[in-house]
Amino acid sequence: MVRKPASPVTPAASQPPEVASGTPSATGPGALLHRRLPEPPAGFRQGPLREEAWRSPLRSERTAALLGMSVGIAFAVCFVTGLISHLIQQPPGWFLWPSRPVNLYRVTQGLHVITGFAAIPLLLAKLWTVYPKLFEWPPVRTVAHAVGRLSLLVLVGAAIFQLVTGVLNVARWYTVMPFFFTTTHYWTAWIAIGAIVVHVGSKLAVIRLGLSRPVDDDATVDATVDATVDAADDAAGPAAESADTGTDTDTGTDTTTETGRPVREPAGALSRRGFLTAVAVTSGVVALTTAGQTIPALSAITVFGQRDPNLGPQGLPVNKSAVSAGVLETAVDPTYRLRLDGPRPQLLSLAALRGMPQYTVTLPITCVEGWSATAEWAGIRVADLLDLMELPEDGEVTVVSLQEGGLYSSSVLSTQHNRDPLTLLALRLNGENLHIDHGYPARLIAPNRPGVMQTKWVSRIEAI
Amino acid sequence: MSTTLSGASAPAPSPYRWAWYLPGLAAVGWGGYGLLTAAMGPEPLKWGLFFVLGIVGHDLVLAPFVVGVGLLLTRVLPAALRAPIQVGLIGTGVALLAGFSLAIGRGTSDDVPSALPYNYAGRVAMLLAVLWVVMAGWTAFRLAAGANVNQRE
Repeated sequence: MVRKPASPVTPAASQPPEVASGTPSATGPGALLHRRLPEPPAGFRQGPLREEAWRSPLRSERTAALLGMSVGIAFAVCFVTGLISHLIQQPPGWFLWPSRPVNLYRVTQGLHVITGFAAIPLLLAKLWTVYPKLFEWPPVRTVAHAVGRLSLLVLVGAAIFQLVTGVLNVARWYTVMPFFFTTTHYWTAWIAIGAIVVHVGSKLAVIRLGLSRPVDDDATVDATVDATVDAADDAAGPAAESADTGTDTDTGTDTTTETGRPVREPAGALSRRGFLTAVAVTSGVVALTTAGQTIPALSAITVFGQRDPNLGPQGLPVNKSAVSAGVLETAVDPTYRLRLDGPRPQLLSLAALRGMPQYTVTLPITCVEGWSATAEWAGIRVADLLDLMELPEDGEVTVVSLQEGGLYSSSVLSTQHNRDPLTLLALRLNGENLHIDHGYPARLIAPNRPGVMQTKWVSRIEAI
Repeated sequence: MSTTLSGASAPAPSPYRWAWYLPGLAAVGWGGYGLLTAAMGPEPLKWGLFFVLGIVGHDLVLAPFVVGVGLLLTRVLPAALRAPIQVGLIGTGVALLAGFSLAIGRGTSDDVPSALPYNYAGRVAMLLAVLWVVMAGWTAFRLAAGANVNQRE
C-alpha cells in the first residue's frame, strides 16, 4: 500500500526549466547551449543509473535545503573569519583592525576552527542527500546542463578541499599537503564560497520549494495522506522496493516524498526528522569537543582540539620553539641589546629594559590554528619605547625577531596597536622571566592580534 | 527533463539567479587567479591533484561505502536496531574522519610538546564508547517499548 502525494506538484514545477524559463529560440545566441543532446542508449541505464535505484525516504528537497543552508552558513562563517585573519596579517591600505575588544580575534579565529570541524558532518550529510543526482539520467541533456554539472565538481571539490586541509592543519600534518597550506587554503576559500553562492543562485527555486514543505516525518505523513492511501495502491507494485534501502514491501512504513514519488521507510529506521536531528547533534558534539582549545572550561572533553590552553612551558602552549627558530644561542647571549631604530636610535640592554617602568597586563595569545590561552604578561609599554625613540604619534613600526628568515620573523605594529597601553614588550610571563620558547629575552604582546604577529625574541623595533 | 531529488519536475529557475551568479563567479575567478599567481601559492598540478583526490575519494570511495553499508544494514538488522545503529554509524564515521589525522600523530614534534598533547586515539575511542553506550540504551528502550506494545495488543 502506497500513499498518495502529500502535496501536488505546482504548475511551475511541472515544467522543465528549459520551457518554464523560456527556451531560447532555435536561432538565438543561447540555442547551442540549450540544444538537446542525443541520449545514451537505454541499455546503459544500469545499476545506480536506474530510475528506481535511489529511493531512501531520507532524501528530499527539504532535507537537502536544510542541510545546504547549514553548510552555507558554516562556510560563510569560516570564510568571513578566515578573511579577517588574512586581512589582519596582510592588511591592505583600507583595512584597520582595532586593538579592542581584546578577545575579538580569539572569538573569530576560535569560531573559524570550531565551525570548520562542525561543518564536516553537515557537508557529508548534504553530499549523501544529493548523491543520487550524480547518477541522473541522461547524464547530459544540453551543453548548459553539462556546464552546470561540471560547476558542481568545483563546489564539491573546493568544499572537501577546505575541510580536509583545515583538519590537516589543525593536526599539523603538513607533509601530506604538497603546497603551502596558508596561501592555498585562503585562495581556495574564495573558490568554495563563490561556488556555494553560484549553487544557491541556481537552486533558489528548489530551495524555496523544499523549505516550504514540512519535514514529512511519520506523523506528518500519517496526518496528511491517510485519506488517499487506498486510491494510490495501484501505484505501488514492485516499485515499492527500494534498492537504496533494501526494504521490501512486507515491512516498513508507507510514506511519500514531498512531491509524491512513493517510497517506503524501513521499519524502525530513522525518519527524515530523525536523520536531521542526528546530523545536527553530531555537528554539535564535534563543535563542543573541538572548542576546548579556545574555551578552557571545555578542555577536559577535547577530542579534536590541537592544544590544551593550560599545557606548555609556564602553563601556556607554544607554537614556534626556540630550537626551530634557531635562536637557542642568540636569545641567551649576554651581549643582547634591543635596538630602537627611529628618529633617536637607542640600544638597550636587558638590565636597562628591566629598569624601565614595568606594567602587567592579562591578555590572550591566539593562534591562527584556533587555540587561545590567557596569561599574565609583564614588561615595558611599547608606547614608552616609541617615545624614547621619539617616534611621532602616528608613526608605525616593525618589530623584528632574532630569528633569521621565516614568514613570521617580523611584524608591523600599526598605530591602533603600538600606542595601546596594553601593548607590551613583555619580559615576564605568569610571574617568571619568559621561557625561551615564549620569546626570552623579550617578546611582543598586544591585544586582539594573531599569535604569529606577537613577535618573539625581539631584537629590533624599526620606524617605518 | 530536470527532476528534483524526489523525482518531480524541477521548478523553473529563479529570475534572481544572476544576482547570485555574478558575485559567485567573480569570487571563483578571484580564487583561481590567486591560486595561479600567489607568490607562495601551490603548484597548480599538485593543487589540482589534491582537489581531484577529494572528489574521487568522496564520490567513488566514501559515498559508495556508506550507501553499501546502509543497504546491508537495512537488510540484516531487526527493526529495533536500525535507527540506533544508523545514528551510531553516522557519529562513528564523522569521529573517525575528523580524528584520524590527529590520532596518527604525524604532526607531533619533539621541540613543541605542547602541540597535540593528548592521546587522540584514546579520546576518539572514549567518544565512540559514550556514543555506543547511548545507542545501546536507546536500543534497549526501543525493545522494551516494542514489548510493551505487543503485551497491550
